Amino acid sequence: MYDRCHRRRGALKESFILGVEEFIRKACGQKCYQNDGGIRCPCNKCDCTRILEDRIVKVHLYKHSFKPNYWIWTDHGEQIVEDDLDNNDDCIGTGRGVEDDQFLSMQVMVYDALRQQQSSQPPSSITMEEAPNEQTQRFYNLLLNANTSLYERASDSKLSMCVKLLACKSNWNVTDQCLEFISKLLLDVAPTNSNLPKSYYDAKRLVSKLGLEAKRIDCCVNSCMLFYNNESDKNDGGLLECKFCHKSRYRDHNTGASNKKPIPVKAMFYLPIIPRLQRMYASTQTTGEMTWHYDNKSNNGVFRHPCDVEAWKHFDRVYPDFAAEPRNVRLRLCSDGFNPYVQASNAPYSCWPIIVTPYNLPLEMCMSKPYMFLSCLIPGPFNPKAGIDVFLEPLIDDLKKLWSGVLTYDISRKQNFMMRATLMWTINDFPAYGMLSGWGTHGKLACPHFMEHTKAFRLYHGEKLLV
Amino acid sequence: MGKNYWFDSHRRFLSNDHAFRRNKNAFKKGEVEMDGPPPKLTPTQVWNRVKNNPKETETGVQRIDGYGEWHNWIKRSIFWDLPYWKDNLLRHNLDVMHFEKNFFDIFNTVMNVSGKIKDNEKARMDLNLYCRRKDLELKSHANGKVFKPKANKTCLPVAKRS
Repeated sequence: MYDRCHRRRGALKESFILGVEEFIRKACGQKCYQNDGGIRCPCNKCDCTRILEDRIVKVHLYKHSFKPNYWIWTDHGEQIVEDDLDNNDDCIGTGRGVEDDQFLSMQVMVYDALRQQQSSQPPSSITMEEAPNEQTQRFYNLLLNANTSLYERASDSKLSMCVKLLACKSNWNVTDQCLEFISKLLLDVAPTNSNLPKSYYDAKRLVSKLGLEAKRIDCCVNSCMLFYNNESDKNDGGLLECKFCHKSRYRDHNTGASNKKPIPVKAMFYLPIIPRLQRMYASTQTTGEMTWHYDNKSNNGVFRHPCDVEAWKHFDRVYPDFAAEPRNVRLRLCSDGFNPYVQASNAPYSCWPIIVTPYNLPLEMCMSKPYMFLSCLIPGPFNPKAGIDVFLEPLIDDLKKLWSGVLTYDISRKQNFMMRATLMWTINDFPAYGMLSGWGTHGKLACPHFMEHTKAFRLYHGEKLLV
Repeated sequence: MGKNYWFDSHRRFLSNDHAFRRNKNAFKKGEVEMDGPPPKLTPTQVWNRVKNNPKETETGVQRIDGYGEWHNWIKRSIFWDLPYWKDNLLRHNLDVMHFEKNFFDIFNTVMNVSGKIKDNEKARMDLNLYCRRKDLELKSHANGKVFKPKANKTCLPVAKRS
């Protein structure tokens, strides 16, 4: 076989002529040569559509060369090799691949839970190993219960079916009614007494049991305060109007005795960070990686990961007890405003997501999508400005709790331990820097480094001058 | 209002005997920079400044006395509630993406991109006031029209095409 990749280099190359000879010989050997009475001409013009004599095919090939990308002679008796098929799939079906991956990681977690269940039944001989704490055990049990197969010999479990239904909703913005219809459809098709979710609501309830919920916290229209109960001293959950601006918490609904729940004027979403961090230790996939920063400190002065920087080391020196436990989590926080309604006709709307990322993971995982936890979603329509602190309060409360430690089960070591976490720093653009740090970034004293020592002055004519 | 500020303090980071510090022509006209870099506050020093500021969650948004005059504090950030916050060396960072954007915005001026260029008449008028760059100042013709000399680093249309 000649080197096919080079055959388009030039018509009269020695190797090309030899290659064409061989091609003709091979094509003549095929069964279809006798049937058709010629060869399907693979030249650039004929494109395997015309059947010609081998003599003419040869001239065509010299003249026009092979049609592009005809590496495998499928029209002349060759089969596509399996390897190539896989490669093609990788190129084209990335979208699907990602999704499959999403479900795959869930299956791995279920598998972990299963193994945990089996191993916890016989008392372990090694004293270091413990059973998971109550909360984690409950999670694993739920996972196992939900993992019952749909019907006999079904490939999917109830859990994976529910997750796929919900993923369908979130990926393609399917309406509730449509999902309701699909779940009914599935029920009709599947054999009777299957474990399929009865409705969309049923699926949602099952998945929500697994934890990782989102809390909805009412807030004042002018974002002065949250109607939120603190575990320490704050007790604003029952208030009906704002403490500062005295605006009502709920929308006025029409008079008439209705037992309907009152509708809040504005609400933020808080996605608790603690269960999300605990979940990192509940799966064998991630728990091993959570100590990466401890074992992989660079020793030649090269800066690869934030664990090599001075600020990190300084923190380790100040809190040696925190640094001694590699499983403790280091977090960073970032935030920026964005407009979810992109149509130009809309009034400007600024919504502020707050994203918390653990720094423990290796470089390739550290900044990847699955490990960036959205923790607060601050509603618009206005930029919260300095009032962003109001919305950060639930997160800060959780961070305080995390500093003192939260009981967590580590599946790789099969131990319960007190997981602690610290917020290392925040990363923002310049306006958000002012909102988070407390040093305003407007006017003459905008530079947070020079502070009051600045020599800035106002340009007399200037509109915008970049200096 | 709406006028922009010029933060002219780059030379303060240079070593004390650097030639740029005594250069009166290339930077702000007639000015010799003799000040050192600003003091680097330790986290505790920052905490001492911040601790008396009002907290948003307790008082609502308030304006602190002297804002914009001798300080620019707007609040005591909620992060100071974290017990370990005053032991963090780097508390707030700026992200690199925005630096990149700002830096490459300058290329719009250098490449003479119409509509994005900041090298306009008003900038040249300010140049009169603060810099010694006679060759770049606006020149008026005999017929009364004002004419903006090309800067010596701008890209000419011919070069831009190639």
